[in-house]
Amino acid sequence: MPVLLKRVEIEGFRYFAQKVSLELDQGLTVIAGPVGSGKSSLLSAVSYALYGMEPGLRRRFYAKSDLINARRDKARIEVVLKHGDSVLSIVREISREHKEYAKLVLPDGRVVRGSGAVREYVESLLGLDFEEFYRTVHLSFATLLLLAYGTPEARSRVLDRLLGLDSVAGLVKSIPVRRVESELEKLRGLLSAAEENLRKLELQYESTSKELARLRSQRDELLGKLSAIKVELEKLEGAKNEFEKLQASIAEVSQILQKLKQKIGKGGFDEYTLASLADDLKHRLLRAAELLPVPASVKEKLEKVDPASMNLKRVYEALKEAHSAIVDEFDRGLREVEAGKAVEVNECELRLKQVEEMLVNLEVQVREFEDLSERRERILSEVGSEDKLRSEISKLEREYERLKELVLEGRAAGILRRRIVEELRLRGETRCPVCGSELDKSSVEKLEPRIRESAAEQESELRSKEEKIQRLKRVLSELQEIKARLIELEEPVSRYEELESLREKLSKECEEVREELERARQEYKAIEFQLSRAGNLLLQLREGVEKLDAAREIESLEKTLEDKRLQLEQLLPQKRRYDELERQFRDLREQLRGIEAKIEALESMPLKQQLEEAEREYRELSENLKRVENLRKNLLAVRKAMLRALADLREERVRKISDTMNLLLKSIYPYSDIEEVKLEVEEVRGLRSTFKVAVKVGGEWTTFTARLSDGQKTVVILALLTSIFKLLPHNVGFMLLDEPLPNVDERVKLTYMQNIFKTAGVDQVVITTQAERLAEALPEARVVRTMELVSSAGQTP
Amino acid sequence: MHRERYMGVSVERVLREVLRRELSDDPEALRLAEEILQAYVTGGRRGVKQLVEAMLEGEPRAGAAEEGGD
Repeated sequence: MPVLLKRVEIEGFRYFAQKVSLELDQGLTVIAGPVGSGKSSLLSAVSYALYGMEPGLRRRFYAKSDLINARRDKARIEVVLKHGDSVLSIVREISREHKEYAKLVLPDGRVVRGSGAVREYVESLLGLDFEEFYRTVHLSFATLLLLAYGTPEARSRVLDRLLGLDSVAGLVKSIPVRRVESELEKLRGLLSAAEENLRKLELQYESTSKELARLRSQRDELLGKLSAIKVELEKLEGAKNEFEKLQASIAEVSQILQKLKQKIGKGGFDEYTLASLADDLKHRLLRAAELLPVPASVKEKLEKVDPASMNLKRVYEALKEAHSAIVDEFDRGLREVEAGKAVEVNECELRLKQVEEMLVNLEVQVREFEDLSERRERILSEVGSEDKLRSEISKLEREYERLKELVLEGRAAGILRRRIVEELRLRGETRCPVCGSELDKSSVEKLEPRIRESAAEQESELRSKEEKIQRLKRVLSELQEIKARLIELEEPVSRYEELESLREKLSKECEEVREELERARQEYKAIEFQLSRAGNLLLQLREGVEKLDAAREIESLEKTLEDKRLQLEQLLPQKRRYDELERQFRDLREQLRGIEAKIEALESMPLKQQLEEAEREYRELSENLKRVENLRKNLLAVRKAMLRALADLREERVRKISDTMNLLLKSIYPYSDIEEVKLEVEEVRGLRSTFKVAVKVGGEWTTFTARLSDGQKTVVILALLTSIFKLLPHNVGFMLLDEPLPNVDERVKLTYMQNIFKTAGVDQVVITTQAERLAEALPEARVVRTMELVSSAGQTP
Repeated sequence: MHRERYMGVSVERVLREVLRRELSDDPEALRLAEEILQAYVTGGRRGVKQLVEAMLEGEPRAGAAEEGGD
């Protein structure tokens, strides 16, 4: 069932600021009105509602926002479609903010939203896309004019487009056969390289496998050899261990021998010398034992020792025992002497020392006593006796007193004379206050020297007497002091003399005791010498005995050593064989390690993986090549089929259009001057065709542009487009004709309007025209005047 | 979203029919032709190129069978 228009509702779209609504029935609807009254806007609204596109936008005469009425911010169009008994509603809105809204409500209430989704649904429903729609359903004079007056190339392009040939040609051209062939070439190259790589890897793998097999065989051979050597080594191991044990033992014995030989040194002892030495020792010990209070048992034992007949070791033991006992006795005796006489000497010396210390302590007082006695004697030798000294002092004291009086007198006479001299010097004369004598200046010379003379002499004498008295008194005093002190010192001096006597006595006693001690010590020293000598002999004897033992041991060890060396000699070939085998074993094991390392390295080589990878790559490339070859084959087949389809389509459509155009022309064109019309393919260049529209006028075929008037040309193009509309498989039951024939006479217009249903095979036609009167001449047509439509919506025209 | 068509709906229908007829004895080529046609209708020359590139890459071609039944 074809789709028809049921209602169109417009608000804010192009001419229509206010909301207008137009119900559309089947049959012819003529939209009549003067220029600029919104006729084209009505048809444009239908186109925009269906596809979101309209002819002016398609040709870029204006932008989408220009579709909005200048007085409104948005445009809204609703178109209701009738599809059989079902009704579909499409709403589209556009705003000045470039927001678009589209909705399609399906008969079952489902809603399709979004501009693209709605358009796709409409394309599917109508079976036409916008390009086809506006070239065949929504026809305008502008479209017709472009085709009628355009260049043949432009016309051909439009026809190519309308017949769908350009897209088929484009489709054929889009098949990238060359690209696939180039890929094929590339794949062939890759496959060849992969094949070569695979071959190389196979060779490498084969060579590696052979090398591995060779190495594994070598390894097995070596393992066999090693096993055999191991068995032989195990057999020889006992002999080898025995050999090594003997070697170690020989080394040990040799070391012991060396030590023993070092011990013996160069000098050796024979048994006779040692027996003689032991005999000497025995006699020395006996002599020492005679001098000491040694127990009789010791002496008896000693006497029984016979170095000539006894074992020397036993002799040494017996002599050592005796020497020890005698030395003990010597030590004990010496200790006793030291403890007796030496103590006595010490005590005596101690006493002597005490006396001497006491003497030393008294020596100071004795010395003082002697010094004082000597002093006293010396003083007495100077002054005589003590009494004589006392009488001398008394005499001098008396002389001193007398002289002292004279000095006093002299001093008074001097003072008098000085005063008289001073008076005389002042007055020239005076009187002596003592004697009353008259004196004059002449007396000065006499008196003046006497003043000084008399005083000095007397005073000097007085001082001399005084000093002498003092000196004698000091001597007397000293004598008295010495006498007193000597009396004090008499007792210590007496004690000193006693001690001195005691010291001499003690000294003699000590000397005697010391001499006794020294004598005892000398005796012990002589014994000690004997014992020391005996000790040395004992050491020599011990050394000799030991060396004698060592020499015997050396002899034994050398024999043992010789036996062992003999055994070693016997084991040597087995040992050598063992060493040789062991060396071989080591070498073979080393070789085995090397081979195993090589095997491991070869085994770990990723050759197999690489080979598998290369095989896989080769397989994949082969498959790819096959696939791409197949693709190429199919593409070529497709291309060929499409080319055939293009040619068939072109031929078929051109033929059908030509037939339809003649039928149409006869029904819509009321005159007979155009006898026939046809569409021809003038040239096919590559995939593009050049079309020619030819007309037969006056029995002659000519290009329609050459002989026809403008109106006739428009009619022919209208017939051509209507033919295409008829030819195209679609589901559209209406046509929108926007002033299709403005340049023809009214008869042509009328004929066209009356017959368009029949010729185009549609149920509904909406046509716009300025010729309102003509519309009224069509009784079956419904006339809608745009001015009334606008006025009823409240819009000012 | 507006999706451009690179071939008219009616032409596409006719072409499908012609191809089915022309390639009726080569189903593999027919399937490929339908895939190419579909790719061209929705993606134009670029769509076909992408389709063939995907085929060269060996990518699986989903939806070819369903589209054949139009």
